[in-house]
Amino acid sequence: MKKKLQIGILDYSDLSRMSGGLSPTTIKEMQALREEIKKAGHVPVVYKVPKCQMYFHGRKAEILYNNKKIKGCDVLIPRVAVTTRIDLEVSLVKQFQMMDIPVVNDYLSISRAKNKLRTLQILCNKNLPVPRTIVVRKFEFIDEAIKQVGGYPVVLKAPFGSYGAGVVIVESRRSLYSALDVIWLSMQTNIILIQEYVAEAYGSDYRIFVVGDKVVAAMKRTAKTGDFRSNLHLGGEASKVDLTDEEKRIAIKSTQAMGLQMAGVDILRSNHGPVIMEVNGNPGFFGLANVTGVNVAKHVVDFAIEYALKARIKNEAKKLAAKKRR
Amino acid sequence: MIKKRKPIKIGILDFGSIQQAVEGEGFSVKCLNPTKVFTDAIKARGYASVVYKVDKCQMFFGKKGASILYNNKPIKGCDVLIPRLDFSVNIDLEVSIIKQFQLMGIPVVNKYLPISKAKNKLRTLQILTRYKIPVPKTMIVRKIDYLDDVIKKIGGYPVVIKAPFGSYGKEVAMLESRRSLTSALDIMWKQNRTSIILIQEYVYEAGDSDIRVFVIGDKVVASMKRTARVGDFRSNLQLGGVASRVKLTKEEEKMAVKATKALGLDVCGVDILRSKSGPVVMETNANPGISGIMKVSDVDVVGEVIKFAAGMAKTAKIIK
Repeated sequence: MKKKLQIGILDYSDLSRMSGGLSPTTIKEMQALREEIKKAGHVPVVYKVPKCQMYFHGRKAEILYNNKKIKGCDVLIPRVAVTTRIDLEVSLVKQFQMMDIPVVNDYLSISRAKNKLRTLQILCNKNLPVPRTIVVRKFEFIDEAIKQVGGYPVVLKAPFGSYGAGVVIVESRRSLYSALDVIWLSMQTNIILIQEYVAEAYGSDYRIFVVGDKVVAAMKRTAKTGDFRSNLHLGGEASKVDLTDEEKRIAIKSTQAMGLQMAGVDILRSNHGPVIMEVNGNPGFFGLANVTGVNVAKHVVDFAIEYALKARIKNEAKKLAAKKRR
Repeated sequence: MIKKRKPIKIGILDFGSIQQAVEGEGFSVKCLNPTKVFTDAIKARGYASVVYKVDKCQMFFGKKGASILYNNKPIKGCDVLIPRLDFSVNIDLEVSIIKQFQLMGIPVVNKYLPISKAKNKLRTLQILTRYKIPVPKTMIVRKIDYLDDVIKKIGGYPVVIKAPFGSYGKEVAMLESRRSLTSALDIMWKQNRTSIILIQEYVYEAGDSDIRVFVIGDKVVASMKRTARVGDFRSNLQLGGVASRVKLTKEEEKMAVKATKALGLDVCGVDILRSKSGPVVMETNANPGISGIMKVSDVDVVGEVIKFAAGMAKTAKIIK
């Protein structure tokens, strides 16, 4: 009989609840993952982040859970539903990795994906298409910056934030300063991304869910009338969609460029081909599963199982080699 | 005809204005302007200097890839860059600009990734322990359900609590009893936008002193002992700590260099406590202060940093 795998889920939802930023679907997605793990004949283990204590002493690092030494798992799926203090929050993921637990997605790629500046750097560096973007922190050259990205309307974005929060479209010069003020005040940063508005996308974007090196599901999201943000949380409408090969290729390539094993890639159809808006390292899938009928949770779980088994074989080979050396 | 060789151009990336913008007047560190100290020293050595103010840097992403605009014009590069950053909020975002310089192929002292590791106290602890470098007993908590047990593990009162970011001894407190601890934790939790708190053993035998070791590359170039003023336990010079000369043991030197290497830093201020079980590393600082240590140790620390940076620029040129 095959040994059951312990599949861990690192649950950040209590933190986002505390900060008021809990997305309504996060809990449902956790449930779906747990069910799929059970269906596959394995054991789900949920770790609640507030109960994790990191303990350093002498030359050792460990994790305590409920004040006892944590029981490990064979693979961990972190659901990092936080948008502030990301570098600190994801350090916990790294602590699991230091216990030699395979993680989907890992610490470094999550923190890169949560940082919109690093994401742009990485995509650009790999020659992947992004919307023209300029990152500023002063008003001085703002008119030139807007010219550079192609003139009004432009999109202003805070460098962090998800679910379409912290994004504003500005139609004209006279609304610009007030919009900037709003972002600067609410986001506690003076870094702003000014991005071209891809008018020919007609307020629609494409969410592509990549697991491993495959596209498992995709949908088109269209902003509700009177908005330009297509996020489903904000009332955007979703429908099934067929992607071009180019779009699939770009989605997979950008996932790999970020070092992610699974990602939600958002692209726009511009008149010069697809451009990548965002690569989400902690993609929601509740809406996507509903729209497409694809069991996304099962894809994620299957991938994690495969990943755990591969890691186990690797570990055993390592142990064998060490034995032989002795 | 012999063409005169162009001098090496050393860039300083100045985050100064950012600090003022985000930290306001609440905490001002009165010391000499480090940027000016650096540019003067660069010129004195016959190199060319260029200062980049971070708020004038715009990152541009487009079809042709990533670039930097300075004062809205394409930036003029340099042969090596020294970032000077004195802030502690939104670090992962702020340091992205350093990566953008690296992406232009410019060597940087210190690099983007090690800086962000060093600014993150949790990552620092992880890295140090991974490299088997001793650290003070530390527990990272976000709830106080098991407070008594945590304190027992740490070794009893007094304990030190720290916010996971912050420097110059800000957001660090020493507490001697349970009622003092719980009340202080409440304040910390309310003030910070994070619930993560470090609870650390108070290394009593260090006598409210620590040792700052200044490492460049794989060498210790200077060190000093810092002792808290009477009535405080924080030895930071900004808080009235007093610096004095100190002789390091071989073990301490080795440990400081090893910690610097573990984080991947080129220039690092390592803070060591002398505990009864030997030295422990408290902190690794990617942007160590210069004025205090220069005065006490009589070592031209700035000159050493510049020498190191110039060496990096030369190596990079040869490789090209």
